[in-house]
Amino acid sequence: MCRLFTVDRLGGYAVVVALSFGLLLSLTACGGDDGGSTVDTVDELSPELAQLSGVELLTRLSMDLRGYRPTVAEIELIEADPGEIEVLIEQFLHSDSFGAQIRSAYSNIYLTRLDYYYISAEDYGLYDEALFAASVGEEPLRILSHIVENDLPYTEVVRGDWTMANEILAEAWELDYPEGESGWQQSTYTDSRPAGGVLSTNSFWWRYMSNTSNANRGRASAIAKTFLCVDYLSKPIEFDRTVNLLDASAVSDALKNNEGCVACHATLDPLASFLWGFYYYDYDSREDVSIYHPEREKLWEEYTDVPPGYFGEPGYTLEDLTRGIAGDSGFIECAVEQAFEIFMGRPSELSDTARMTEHREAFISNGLVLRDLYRSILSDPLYRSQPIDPVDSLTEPNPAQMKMISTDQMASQLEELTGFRFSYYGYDMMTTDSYGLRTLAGGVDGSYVTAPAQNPTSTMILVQERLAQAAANYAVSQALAGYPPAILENIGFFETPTTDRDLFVEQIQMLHLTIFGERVDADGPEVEANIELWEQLLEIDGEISTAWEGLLSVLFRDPDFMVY
Amino acid sequence: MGLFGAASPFGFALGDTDRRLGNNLNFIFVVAYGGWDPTRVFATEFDNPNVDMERDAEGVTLSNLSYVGHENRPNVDKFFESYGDRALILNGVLVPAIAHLNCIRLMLTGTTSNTASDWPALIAANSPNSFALPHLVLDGPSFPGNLGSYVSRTGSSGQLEGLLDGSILELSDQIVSPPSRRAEDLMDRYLERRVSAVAGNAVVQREIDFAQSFAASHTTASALKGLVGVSDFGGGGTFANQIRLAVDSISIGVSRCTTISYTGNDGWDSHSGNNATQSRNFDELFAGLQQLVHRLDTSVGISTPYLSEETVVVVLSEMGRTPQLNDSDGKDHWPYTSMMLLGPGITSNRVVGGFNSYYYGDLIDPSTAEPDPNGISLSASTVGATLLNLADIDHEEFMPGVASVPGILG
Repeated sequence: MCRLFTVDRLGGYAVVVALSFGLLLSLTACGGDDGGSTVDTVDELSPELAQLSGVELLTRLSMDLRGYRPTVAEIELIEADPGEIEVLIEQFLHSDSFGAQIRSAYSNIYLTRLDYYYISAEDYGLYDEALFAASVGEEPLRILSHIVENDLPYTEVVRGDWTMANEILAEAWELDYPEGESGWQQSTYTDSRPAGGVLSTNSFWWRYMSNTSNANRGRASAIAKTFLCVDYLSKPIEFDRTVNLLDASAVSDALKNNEGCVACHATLDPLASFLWGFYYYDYDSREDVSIYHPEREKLWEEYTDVPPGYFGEPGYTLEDLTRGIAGDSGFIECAVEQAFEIFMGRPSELSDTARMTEHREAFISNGLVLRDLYRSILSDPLYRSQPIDPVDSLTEPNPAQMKMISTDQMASQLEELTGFRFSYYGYDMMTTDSYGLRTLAGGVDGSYVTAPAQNPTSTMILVQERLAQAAANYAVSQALAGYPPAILENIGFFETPTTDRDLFVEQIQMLHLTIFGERVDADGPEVEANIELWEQLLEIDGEISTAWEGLLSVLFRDPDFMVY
Repeated sequence: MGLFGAASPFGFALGDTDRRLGNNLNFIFVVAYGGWDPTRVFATEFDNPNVDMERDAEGVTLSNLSYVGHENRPNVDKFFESYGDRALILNGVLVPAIAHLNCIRLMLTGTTSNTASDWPALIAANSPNSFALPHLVLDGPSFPGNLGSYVSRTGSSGQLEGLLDGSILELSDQIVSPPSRRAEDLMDRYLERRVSAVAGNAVVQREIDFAQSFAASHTTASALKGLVGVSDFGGGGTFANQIRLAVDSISIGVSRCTTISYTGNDGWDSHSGNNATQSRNFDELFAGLQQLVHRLDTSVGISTPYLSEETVVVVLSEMGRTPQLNDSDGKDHWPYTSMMLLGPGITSNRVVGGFNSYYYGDLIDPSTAEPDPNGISLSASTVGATLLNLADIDHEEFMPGVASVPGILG
């Protein structure tokens, strides 16, 4: 049976949620059965959109799936046979960088990568605060990427009886981290907590703390937003001035009977009641926040008197909650919506409904394997089309947008080209804020900044500049020391435009191909401008290496290097 | 005129139409994130049986201004004694949510939309004058929406300074060095031409938006590097340092709006131990506000002799706290709160709004800002609309249908 879940969940603002696709997906998926309108196929809906060239598509795929641009060999392969793109997609989906890309993309949804938590490394007798915070924030994202990279069913994200941990978390928490191993490993909490995937991790609940008056409602809201794409907080509260909020019984009555309150609380509060086992009396107590508390599971009786329930279905334990989520069509639809938006680089729209329905079917028919969902979206004509000016999304689908690189991609594509990663005493400067550059570079800190910048800012330009200078300096230093990164393999550091112009031009052409995935003409304006700059840089101190370093850093700062 | 005067890359000549007060007002937003308790300073609810006021607190009246005094908060008294005649207290401000993130977004943008730009970004972006860092965020929340190129952060450890002079690279574990200044200037000029070409060739709207934003941000970043040695963007994120840089940035014509934040030692979110937390935080906040106003009083203005004559200070928290203590002697989230404005263009030495017996905000007549049972709620959006009006911006363009409160403008 098809559930029109948006109406069930949020009653009064079904329209708002309908616009975010859940309702439409349900309607279209049910349409055929009811003899109503049939689902249009993707092909029928395809507008006359110009497709990306083979290399343009290759670049988009490489950036989305690996976080860096294609190699020259990959470009040449696609130039020779565009059909090889399907082979490369598989390689990218299994590359070493794929997991990191997934974690990066979903970090903007989970919002767990905080710089600080209430509990510090010192509380556990550990000394590395930054590494501890980074490890905590990474736990839920590692669970997700483990599911993706091992083709586990997506339901594991809320049903798994395991977590992911590194040595730091293993030292702090009660985990059966495998002896003799290092790095991120599949582990299990040994405090007898119920299975619940991300919902049974310390990290997720450290990120979304609660207190007695909030009674886990904020956490329930986080679950709904993260795993069901239902945002309770998107609706400003209409305060009824006739309700006395100072009277506990009046409030309790309003939450159950007042029209303005019930719209959210009728479903939110029962969800919240599942979560008391992770309730902490003392945020600052290492002992309190490190373990699950089965003895607190029924505290809802004391604090809200609202029994646990999943959108009308009564339940008792966290496992009942996760079973409800995993069996909810909204859970699947949300996963599709999130993946679609990540790869399209834009919000999903009404006219995407048919496409998203097809992607959902591909997802379901392949056992809820996320990699199959991604394959389906990556082969969507909209993903493979040239960007256009936005069209009326009610009638026509919009293709994927040109994307600005994320903070993580800013770092990863430079690392891939030059080997340089900006770290300070081992701390990744691009993933932290206290001393690092994450939000200055347009990234998300999970608390004050919850969405990445969509267009350049002045501080982002400055970060890009300094990162580019450092990467260029490092690459040239390595080359001079006899360990040239691939980007400089063709440069001997003795040729000049005067001694061998043809060779020099070839070197610059190769740089453009490597950095931008773009072939430029030997007599084109790009080469001419680059040679002119190179010669001006050489004039400054007479060092060929410095001139190359300068040219390299300018190319790394180019607007084209910040988009794909 | 600012330090650079009209000749600086940040200076601007004031035409006749630009001499209107609103056009030349600067704004400093002071955010107490975590949710303050208005009854500890702003809300004199001593006669309200439903409100737990603090023991030993007392109502203090200075001219037209009344506030809550307590021996543990001497800096609150000092502040109002020195600057109360410039203050406008807004009580009973509705923020229709009770979750921190939603509330702060509502308080600064008037909506829960994650694409809306906040008041400082809108004011900064809609200035007739140009600024290198139109809205400088030293700490605290910022919602730039699509105005990201107008908003810059310094970083909580003064990272902006290291980015500007290149010293940030000295932190790198792998030894690297920036280019010489001469080479860097050369490269900046090259990129300027390149960026201009990209902007000129953009066809699709998304490309145009990106290119224009890149060009504007590149120009700003280049100009900012010229400020090395003139203004110190480093120094860490203490409240005192934030105040110093916020005022300096406006005084030398770099910024029109700045956001600073006072989060207190343990934050403002006093679900337990409300009295101690709020008391200490308010006292330290008001000590900082004294420094801020003093610095504005002694800093050279852009269009007036002193910055305090052309700078509005907006002091806010994203929510209020329940009127009654909970079982942990704490107070939980409450949708009505208070704000304080200081500076030119407002009706100062005044308390507007109030709380009823339920501790809900009183309704007011927007034209006079006086109580009116048939009036409107003083809310985050109505106050925001009024701030835009104060900056000579038609709020209807950004918040259609929202009422402003001209009655609080002077």
